[in-house]
Amino acid sequence: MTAMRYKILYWLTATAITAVVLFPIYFMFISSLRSGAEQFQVAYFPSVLRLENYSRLLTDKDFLGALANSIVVSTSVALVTVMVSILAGYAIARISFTGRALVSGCLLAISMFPQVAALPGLFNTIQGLGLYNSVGALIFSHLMLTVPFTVWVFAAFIREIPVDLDESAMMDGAGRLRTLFRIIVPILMPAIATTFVLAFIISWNEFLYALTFSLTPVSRTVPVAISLLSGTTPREVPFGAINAASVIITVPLVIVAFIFQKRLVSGLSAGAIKG
Amino acid sequence: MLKNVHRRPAISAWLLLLPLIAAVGATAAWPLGRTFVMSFTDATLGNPVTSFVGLRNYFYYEDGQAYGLFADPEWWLAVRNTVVFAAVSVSLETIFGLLLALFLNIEMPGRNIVRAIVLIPWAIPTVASSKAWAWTLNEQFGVINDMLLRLGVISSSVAWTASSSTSLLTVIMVDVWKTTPFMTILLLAGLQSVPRECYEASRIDGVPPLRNFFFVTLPLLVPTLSVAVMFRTIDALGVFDVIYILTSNNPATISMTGYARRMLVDFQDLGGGSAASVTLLVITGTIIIGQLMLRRYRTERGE
Repeated sequence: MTAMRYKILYWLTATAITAVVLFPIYFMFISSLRSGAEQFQVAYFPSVLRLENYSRLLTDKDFLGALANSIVVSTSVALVTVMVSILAGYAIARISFTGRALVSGCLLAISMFPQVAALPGLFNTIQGLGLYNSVGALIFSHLMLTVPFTVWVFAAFIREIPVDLDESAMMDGAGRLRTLFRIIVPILMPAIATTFVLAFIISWNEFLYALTFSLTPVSRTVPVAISLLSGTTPREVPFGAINAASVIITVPLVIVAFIFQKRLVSGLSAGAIKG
Repeated sequence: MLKNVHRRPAISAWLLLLPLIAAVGATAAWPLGRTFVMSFTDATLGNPVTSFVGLRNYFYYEDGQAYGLFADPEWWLAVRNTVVFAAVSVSLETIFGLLLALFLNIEMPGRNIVRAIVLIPWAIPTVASSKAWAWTLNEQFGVINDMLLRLGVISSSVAWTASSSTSLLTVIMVDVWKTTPFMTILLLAGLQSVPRECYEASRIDGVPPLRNFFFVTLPLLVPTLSVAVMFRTIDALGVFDVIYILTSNNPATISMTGYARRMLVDFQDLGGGSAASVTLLVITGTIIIGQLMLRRYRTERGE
């Protein structure tokens, strides 16, 4: 009986936590189904199922452009991040060389400084490279946020692989790169997937740089597009459209969080604690 | 020959690090250096030709009048907002994160579902969750006012994000909702690295659970806790998106980052924006160095 009571108590607590987590998301979803005058009412349950907001957004050229920009930026950032991190993570985890401590120290320092510290300099650099108001500016600036962190994650994962594996490969005459790509990378596939997803999420959600380095719809990502949907009076704010757009960019991430839950958790804690 | 063989690992290491150095150099080190240099110039967004102005962006005195960042009451307001924000939200996140981590550490079939749900606020875009909160907190159409009115907690609708008496508290609440998962993940990892025998030994000895927590688990968790608190504090001091989405550039809530960005984008003042950014960097750097020194001191004392 006590075991039963314990179980009930556990799931009651779990339900309460879930309610707090889902609270704003639930109301975001309800609001996304309401348009016209209905969106300016308090609603607790979906009374009507209108997909008007979604159909309007998914045929809107600017919103589709923003969605495409978000996908292009996040995918490119994640790909470059993974490539750079595999090479650097392997060097830091496996090769002892003078300056190794310095490199990891610098990475740690860079991954901790506030984003805005680089903002004026980045603005200047991006203007100098002619990248202002382009997708390139966002890929460029997001690398600063992902790379130092993921190199740490990678180095932590590589250290967990037994050294004998690559040592025996090198004894057999395989070079560093061959060893890395033939032996380490296949074992690391789960870590690579985790890093890809982490970098993708960071870039997909990033707002400060995306807002500052874009001027027109050409380079806007969805978070920026959403932040610009507004009205001068409360009755003009397109709440339905804002919430529908939020649902569109939230749903893929909720799915990813569910699929990669374990890996994301281990990736985050590997970067933070083992480092 | 022998020398050559010895040097080879180092060469291949630097070759493997080349892409990293290029990426970090171009996107982090160079911009950071530029920010620092520009904070001593009169650079504006439209004018790349600049001259050195010394510390004038930070502070200067002329005809009995003080100018520059440190003489701007709005900057000090931003500092105050950010410090209050960081202190309160990180404290709350630590408490809730610890409770959640302890809860998620309980062995129970199906707990992975709860773990995945807890991860959601961290994983979804801040813009989306902040907009969702803004909607539920809306003065006229939001469910929070409606619920509180029906329950009789408030007698008239509250403009949560607009009124200067509630706006800072509101952004803190939304941030706690959003970042507690991060704290939970780190602390959960810390909890799982605490050897099981430690609890079990004291449980067999008949130590009550609460005592067990304070005298066994918590001390073992301190290293993780201090790293997690430092990470979150640094992050919170650089806060921007939650505050910007919920309250725009409102002086009652504007953060140091918001202030620096406003100088840069709205006033086109690269020099001034850089000075504000450098000041925030110095504050954050001081905290990191202080924390690292404290840790070294502790390890040296063998704690």
